[in-house]
Amino acid sequence: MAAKFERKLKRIMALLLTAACLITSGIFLPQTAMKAAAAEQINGHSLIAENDNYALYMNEEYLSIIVQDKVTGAYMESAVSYDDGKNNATWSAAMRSALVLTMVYGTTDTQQADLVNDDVTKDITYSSDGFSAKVYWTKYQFGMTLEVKLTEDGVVASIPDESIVEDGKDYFIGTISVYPYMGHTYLDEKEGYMFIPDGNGALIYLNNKEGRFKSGFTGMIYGDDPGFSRVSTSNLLWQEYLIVNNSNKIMAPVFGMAHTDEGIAYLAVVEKGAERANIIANPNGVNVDYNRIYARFTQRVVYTQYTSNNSSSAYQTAETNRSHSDLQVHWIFLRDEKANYSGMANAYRNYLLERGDLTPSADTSYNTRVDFLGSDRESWVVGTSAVVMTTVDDIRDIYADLKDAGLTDLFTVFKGWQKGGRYNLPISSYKADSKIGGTGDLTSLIKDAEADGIEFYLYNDALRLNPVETNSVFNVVKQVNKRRYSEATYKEVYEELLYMIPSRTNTLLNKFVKSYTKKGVDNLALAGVSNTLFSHYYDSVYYSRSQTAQEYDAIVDQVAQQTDLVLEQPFAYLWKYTDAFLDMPLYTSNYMYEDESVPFMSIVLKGVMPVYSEYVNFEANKQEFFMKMVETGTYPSFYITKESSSALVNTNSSDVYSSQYEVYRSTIIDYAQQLADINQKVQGAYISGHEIRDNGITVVTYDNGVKIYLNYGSAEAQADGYTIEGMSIKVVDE
Amino acid sequence: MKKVSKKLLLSLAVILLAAALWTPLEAYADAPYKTYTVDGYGYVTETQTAYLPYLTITKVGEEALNGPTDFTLLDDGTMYILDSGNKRVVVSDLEGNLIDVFGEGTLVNPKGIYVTSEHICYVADRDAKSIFVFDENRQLIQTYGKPEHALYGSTQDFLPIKIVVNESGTMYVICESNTNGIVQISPVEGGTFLGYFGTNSTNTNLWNIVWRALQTEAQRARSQSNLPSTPTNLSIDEKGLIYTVTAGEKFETLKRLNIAGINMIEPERYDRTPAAVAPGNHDNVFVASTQGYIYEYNNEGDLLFVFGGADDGQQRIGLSTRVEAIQIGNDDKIYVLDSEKAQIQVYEPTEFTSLLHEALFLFSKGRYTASKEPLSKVLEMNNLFAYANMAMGMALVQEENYDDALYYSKLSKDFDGYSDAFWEIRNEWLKDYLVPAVLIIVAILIIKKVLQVLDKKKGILAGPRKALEKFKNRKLVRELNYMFYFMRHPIDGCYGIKREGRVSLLSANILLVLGIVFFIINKYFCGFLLKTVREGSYDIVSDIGLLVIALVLVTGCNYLICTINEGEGKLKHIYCSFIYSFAPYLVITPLIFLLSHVVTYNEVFFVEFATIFMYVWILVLIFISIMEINSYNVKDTVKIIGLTLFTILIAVLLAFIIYVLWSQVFEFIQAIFGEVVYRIGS
Repeated sequence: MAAKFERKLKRIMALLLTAACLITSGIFLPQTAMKAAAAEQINGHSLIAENDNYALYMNEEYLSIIVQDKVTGAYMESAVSYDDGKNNATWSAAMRSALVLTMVYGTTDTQQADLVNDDVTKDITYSSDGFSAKVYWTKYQFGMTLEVKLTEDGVVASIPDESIVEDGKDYFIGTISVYPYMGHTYLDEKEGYMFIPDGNGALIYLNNKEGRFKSGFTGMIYGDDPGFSRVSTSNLLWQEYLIVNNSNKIMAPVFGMAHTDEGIAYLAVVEKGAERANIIANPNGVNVDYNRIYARFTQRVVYTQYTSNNSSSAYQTAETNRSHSDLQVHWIFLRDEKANYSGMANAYRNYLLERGDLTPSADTSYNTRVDFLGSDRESWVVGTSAVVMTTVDDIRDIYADLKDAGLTDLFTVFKGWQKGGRYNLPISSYKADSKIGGTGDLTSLIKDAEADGIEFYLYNDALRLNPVETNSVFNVVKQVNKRRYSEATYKEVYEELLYMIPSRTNTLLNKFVKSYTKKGVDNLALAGVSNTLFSHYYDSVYYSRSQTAQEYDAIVDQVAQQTDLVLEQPFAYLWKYTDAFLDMPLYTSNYMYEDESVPFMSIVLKGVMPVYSEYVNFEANKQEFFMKMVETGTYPSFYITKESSSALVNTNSSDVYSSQYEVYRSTIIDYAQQLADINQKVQGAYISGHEIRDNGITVVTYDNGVKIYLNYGSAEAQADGYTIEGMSIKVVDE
Repeated sequence: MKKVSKKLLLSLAVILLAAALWTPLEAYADAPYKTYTVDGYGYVTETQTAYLPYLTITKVGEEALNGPTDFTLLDDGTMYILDSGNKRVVVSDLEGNLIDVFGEGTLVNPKGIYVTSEHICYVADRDAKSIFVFDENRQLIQTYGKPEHALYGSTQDFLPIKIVVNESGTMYVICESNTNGIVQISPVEGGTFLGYFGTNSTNTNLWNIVWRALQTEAQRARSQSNLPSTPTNLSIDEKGLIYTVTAGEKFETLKRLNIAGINMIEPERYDRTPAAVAPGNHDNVFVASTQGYIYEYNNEGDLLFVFGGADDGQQRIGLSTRVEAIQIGNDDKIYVLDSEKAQIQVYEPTEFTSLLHEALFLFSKGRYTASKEPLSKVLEMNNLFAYANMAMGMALVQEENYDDALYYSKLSKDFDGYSDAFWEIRNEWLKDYLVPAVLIIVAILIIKKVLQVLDKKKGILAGPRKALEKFKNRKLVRELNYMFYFMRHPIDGCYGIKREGRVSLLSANILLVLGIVFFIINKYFCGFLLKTVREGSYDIVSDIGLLVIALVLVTGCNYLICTINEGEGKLKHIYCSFIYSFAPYLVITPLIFLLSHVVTYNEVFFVEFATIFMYVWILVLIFISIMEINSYNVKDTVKIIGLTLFTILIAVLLAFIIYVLWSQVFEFIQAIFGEVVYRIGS
């Protein structure tokens, strides 16, 4: 019986197994069938993977890809399929190749390596969702593995760090661009734009530029590297004064391309290796007539090594070791009504929220940010003397005065509170300057403010060190050429500031936080480390920007656990730690090729956390700035002192040329009343749409249905049946 | 249906001065450059953005420009752009819409253009060596060639590059490589040469004069001739005043010339490479430099703003590559022509600048009180704006609010304003306190007299007097006191130093320290009107350093020279006598210091006189000291002083050479070391 049963069981098992095999193969069958049927080609690319949303096509020769939206049929190509015949071999190759490299050869770093013109061995393995290609340049003796995967939302291309090999002695990898022509267009063949993360966000239209631009946008993600930068004096007024503003730092590793007429767009996120990558956007006319935008990863650069202190003798040399980090770009595709910049911003917000790289703040309600400057120093007979601008008692008075005017929704960052004034850096312990009232008074002010519902933060620049006030031989950042990095202030009392290495920042910050929280207060506004990233030498060891980023991440993480933390203009990888965003730029850097300024960053962050503007004080066109704050959902910031700012003329804060409370009192109250009203209606809501109509009316749509119409023009204009007067705002609740 | 509740319908129109000027889309709200202003101390401070990039005209209609070099903007909003690369004139409106094109076939290499309000167009054509005149129908009506006039110079070529024309039709022409000045041509009889105008002065200095005097005739002929520079560009205002800018000079690069050719403006800050100049609508002047800096001056030549800058390839709106011309619109917009970018960049004034212009206008009309309102708004936006502070101070003086006026004129370093206000305040003070002060002085005198009488009778001051005597008789006190004797009797004084040991090194050193302290106090804390350094700036280390080095050099060199010239003086004696020669400084400086706090410009003469008197006294003492300490006669002394000065010169030169050599050697070693380390290290 038992044996019979056993046999039966075996038979059943066998049957089941066969069935299972059949089912399994059945699952794969359609796919193989499709692959076989993959006569389905687009412009020499064959279908290799697909899911519910997208299909991935690939050309084996150059590894170029095409991503097609299965719903709309629209697609974007990584290789140029229409050649206008005006381009030389090098450019033609760059337009087709999946990977475009520049090489370091001796001290030159411009020669190109690609998959078209060079002898390359390729080893391609396919998987269900894409392919992996091991490529090797036989002449130059280096290679890497390119992995491309189709995801539910788009496509990911990556190059693992360990796959990059350099065997040669002459040629080394300088930079790597992955799919540099992804989503390109030719002249004005398609309508749309490229999105670049300059300032709050900017668009370059895909129209015919008629050769007006010799170069396009090149910006290093997270700002230029102080570890490599050289101080240029060419752009100083009278050889002395910095007159050209630095362009905005790129705060988030994103860029985008939208073909609005075809209803397809992508937002590209540089997921790995962003710390040493550039975003490059070239409109047509820059070398070739194609519009293209991409990320270029830097592995190695040629730099100037000085051999004397006064820079008179120097030689050019390349970095010995390449930077190490995985490289990865994720193109998130968007369709139809989402295929535009507000769609990109929404996609980026969702992306960050899903990955936990952004955590919604508990409280996003309206506050007026009123920052105070405690004291600074001016030169005196011997050393320096204090210039006291706002004491703790002054702040109490101002709070009381504002309260009388009905204003209690306040947010304050207190600068220059520490012993020795604003530029006595670093701050290593919680010691307030006795001239502004001392530590005891400050502590009680913070507690009283908290009891009154005012958020009061102490400002701490944890990056900079003042060499006049602090011993600076050790623990300061040295550039890759082993010279000490110095940040010129172009001011008189302290002419330069130095950067501390991350471990020093960590030690001092920990010390400070400990002595601070011991007093029962824990609101901290952190600056410097929040928006600076550098590679550096310390103890003859090279630390890359990725390492610095990791260290800062850990430091800020730790501080965020111990304090209520807000960050000044933080980079994207720190957004998850901050309760508010300070100093959001509302404009761009004014590049000529930028056609439109759009509030990308504001759309991403509005409703997720409170976002505060840069100081209203220094805006020349106050009314326009006010409207811009409404458009972006930004809360106003004021930099306030009790004393007249003329007292600051001989200090390092001489650029604070207008800050007296008396002067700004009415503006603060006025702005608070107007903005609180508007922001009440969009409390906790996200911006779901943003558009600029043809008649110049800007329409901002929130996901709770509120619409804000803004007319920056002087004449009244119509939109959706409403009349909006010149220079005015209309808020509509549906 | 959308429901629009009244409450939710927010309309936030705010009336603003500049609002009416704004048009959508083209305006950029953020500038890529900073704006600076210069305060009364010559210090440069940042200020609100004065002008924002507003519009960039890269094409006129469909016509692209090619290396445009000049343009004229008329009050009716017509722009005549000299499209030099295309050898034509392009007429445009303010937005860059094409109106007309002309001049093709006539123009060869045009460089300058001027158009009158009647649309008569003058073109300076360098290679055609002519000035072409077109009427309002674009017809060529006149051509002026090289003036036939003896004064013009027969060998002088005629290469016109810039031109303006006044109301009577007289042309002012800048010609390339003509250093005689601006060529003035009257339209009568087909062009009559009227003479040269506004010739630049040659730039010479003492060194050049000495050098040229030493050269032979042949050498002088070979050396670069010292000719005045040709102006770079010019402009004319409604009153017919001519403005010129000249590149390559250090000073007077901007001039405002009256009918007689006299310069009436002397700014403190010039640009070294100005490209163009244009008068504004508020008695102000604009200068654009080739690199793209734009300067706005008021009619006194005070720099109100400087902004803009060179585009280093970043291609940011508002930065320039090569500026050729500047024009100001009716609405105060600035139009800047960039030949390399082949575009016209338009800047619009911000709220801040509009307020300032309003104040400027009211102020220039003498309506001080009315100007206070815009001025106070300007100062709210920038407490440190020197011009506004100065104007505010003057307005307040008018209103007899002297205390506040004092504050503002001090902020802007307006000495005249400060002096006026201070005079009034002092006057008030004198009125209030003169009688009590006299009474107090009389009372003190009486008390003194009474004390003296009492002392004589009863000797009540015997105790203190004895103590004082005792104190005075202490050695160090006696030595210090010797100073007063020395300054009155230098010859005996020197004998005392040399033979009687009346002073010691200690006492001399104490006096030296005192002197330095007095110097520093006087330099940094004297009255505002006499202060030479900026309030709040201190440089004590170099002050002390300089004084000590000077003393060491003078004493040392003098000693060296004296020893080889049979001088009897020992180093100690020379040193002490020098220090004691400065006794008048120690006595008079405190007086000057006190005086400086109460004088106005009306009495500043007293201070100046006291200062000169003091220095003459010191020099006499030094002279006598050298003579007496070394037992020289007058002739020997003069010789010794000359030799000492020469030795000092040599010593300084030597120190400089050694410094240079050593720094070279040091740098060389460092470079080798550095390179070795880096090469091995890598």
